[in-house]
Amino acid sequence: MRIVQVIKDFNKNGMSLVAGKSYVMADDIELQCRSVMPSAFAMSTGIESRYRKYEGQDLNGKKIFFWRTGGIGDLTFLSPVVKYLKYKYPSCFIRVASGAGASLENLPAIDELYTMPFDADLLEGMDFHLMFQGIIESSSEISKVTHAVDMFYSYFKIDGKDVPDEYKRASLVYTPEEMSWLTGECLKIGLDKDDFVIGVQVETSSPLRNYPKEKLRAVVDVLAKEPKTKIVLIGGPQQGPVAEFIKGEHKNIILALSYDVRKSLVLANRYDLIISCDSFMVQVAGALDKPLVGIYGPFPSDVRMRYFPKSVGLDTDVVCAPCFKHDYRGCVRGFPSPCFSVITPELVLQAADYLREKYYHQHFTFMTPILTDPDLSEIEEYFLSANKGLCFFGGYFKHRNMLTVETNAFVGSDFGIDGPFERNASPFVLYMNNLGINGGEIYQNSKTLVRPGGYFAVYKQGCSVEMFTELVKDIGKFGEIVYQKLDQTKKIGTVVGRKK
Amino acid sequence: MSKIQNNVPNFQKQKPTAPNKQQDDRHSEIEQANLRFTQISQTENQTRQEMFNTQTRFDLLVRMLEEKGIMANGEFQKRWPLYLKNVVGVADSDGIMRPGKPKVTFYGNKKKEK
Repeated sequence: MRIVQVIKDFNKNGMSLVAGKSYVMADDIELQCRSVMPSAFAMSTGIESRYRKYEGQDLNGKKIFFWRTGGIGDLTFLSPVVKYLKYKYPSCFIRVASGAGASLENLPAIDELYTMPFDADLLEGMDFHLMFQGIIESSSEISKVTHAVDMFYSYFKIDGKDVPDEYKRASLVYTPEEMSWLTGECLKIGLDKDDFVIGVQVETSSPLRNYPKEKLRAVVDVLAKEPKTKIVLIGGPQQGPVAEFIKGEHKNIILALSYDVRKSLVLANRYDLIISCDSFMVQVAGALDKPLVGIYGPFPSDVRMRYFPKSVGLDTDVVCAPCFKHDYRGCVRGFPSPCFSVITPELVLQAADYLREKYYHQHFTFMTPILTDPDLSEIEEYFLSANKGLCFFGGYFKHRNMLTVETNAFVGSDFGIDGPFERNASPFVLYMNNLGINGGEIYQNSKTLVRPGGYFAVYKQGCSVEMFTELVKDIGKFGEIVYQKLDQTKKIGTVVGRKK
Repeated sequence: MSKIQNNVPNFQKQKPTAPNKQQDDRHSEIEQANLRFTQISQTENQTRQEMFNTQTRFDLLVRMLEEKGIMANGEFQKRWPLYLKNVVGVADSDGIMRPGKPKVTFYGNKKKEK
């Protein structure tokens, strides 16, 4: 952080600096400014001589000034800390400067809010200063297991464990004018009162943290076919081509790319559900208490979403994740990154449906085939031939003589995928092809769990003639086919084989 | 004077100009603008190519999702490109490739309410 003397008015790069004054700015910003207009700047000095660092002293009756450049999401972590400071020290005066302060606007706990770079004279008259540069980006060992808000608390020498949960979530405060703008804007862009509105963050600021575009399009494609549903794609003007690609031909998808940050935050009030990768929209959803699906790869969702009660975090369990990389390049392991390759569109859709059902008591229509109990009356005799078999991908279906295996985290099951069925002793196995986490691999493995003389049954919705033929051929190798039927109108294929 | 001599630039006639700060600023801005323009063109070309690839991947992904889980005899493994399947392995410290799997966390309540 530097104090830079300005000798000529500078009105570029979104900054307005007046000649004759000195400004506090980050080192990289100083370099950028000097490269654009070298003659506007004289010498610069380090901030140390004027910096009175806050070390956790009593702030009652004192004045504190803290600042940070950085992304909108990162700054959102600051709002609960400010709120807590004001609660703990009601008579303290709080001055804040930030690079993207839209999320901190109107907060009653902040007495004065400035943008970075700020006039160095603002440092005077303050009892304490605190700057947060690099707190999120440092990738220190503690930041890998500590929630970002708790990291901010630790800078104030406050133990996050002592802070009530209500002071862990970000706050967003809106003015009546902003709310009336929202009403008008919703009408203008075609969001009706009874629409179910889903906000989808298109990209993050770093390619490394982006959910692959084709997968996001597959998710949006399914959601856009839902009745009375509108999807708002959130981003900036630079996300135009990507957003157009994700939109495809759907008319109920609205591109929200031209709003400034503050208006995007206001518009977020209208979303009933938010789907976002590791970006500011996650923090906005948490602050507004909106149901949220967070898609995480390089960072664990826990350190960003821990205090959001209405959220589902989709993480990955791969060798290299979480890598805690925070740069602006793609993954060094290629495209797609191993972490995002395991998060399928089905998983995101199921998470979205889980939240919709939980908070709005309504399923999406794409879930209808999964929620409808399969008609197994013609093959039930095989399931009742012996005591307790296994069922994979049963979804919401339960049978009195079957134990369900957790192949899907969103439905209740009798036990997890790792046990205890390693012995080849199951009297029968039912494999139903529903939305689930893994496909072909489990199909192959589940066949081996049937004991000799037992049955392996497959019930497949959306089954074509080719698929059915292939399935019969495959189960024929496994044993004797005792039942096969393809209902071509309902596109349901059922095959039962008896193990030799 | 010969024609050849006429073509020789007369350096003596050219007056050295004093460095002008305003001109410097303008030149620097023009250079920056040129650089930005080149960068934007490159990004646009890259984006166009990327969009084409992404569209192809999307079409494949949708077809794969329809057939997923039912391809027997390794057909699923053969038919679909690695980058679409959910088993991109990463070599562990012992050199063995470990396939990844997703992890779902329900914040607020750890277990799903039945």
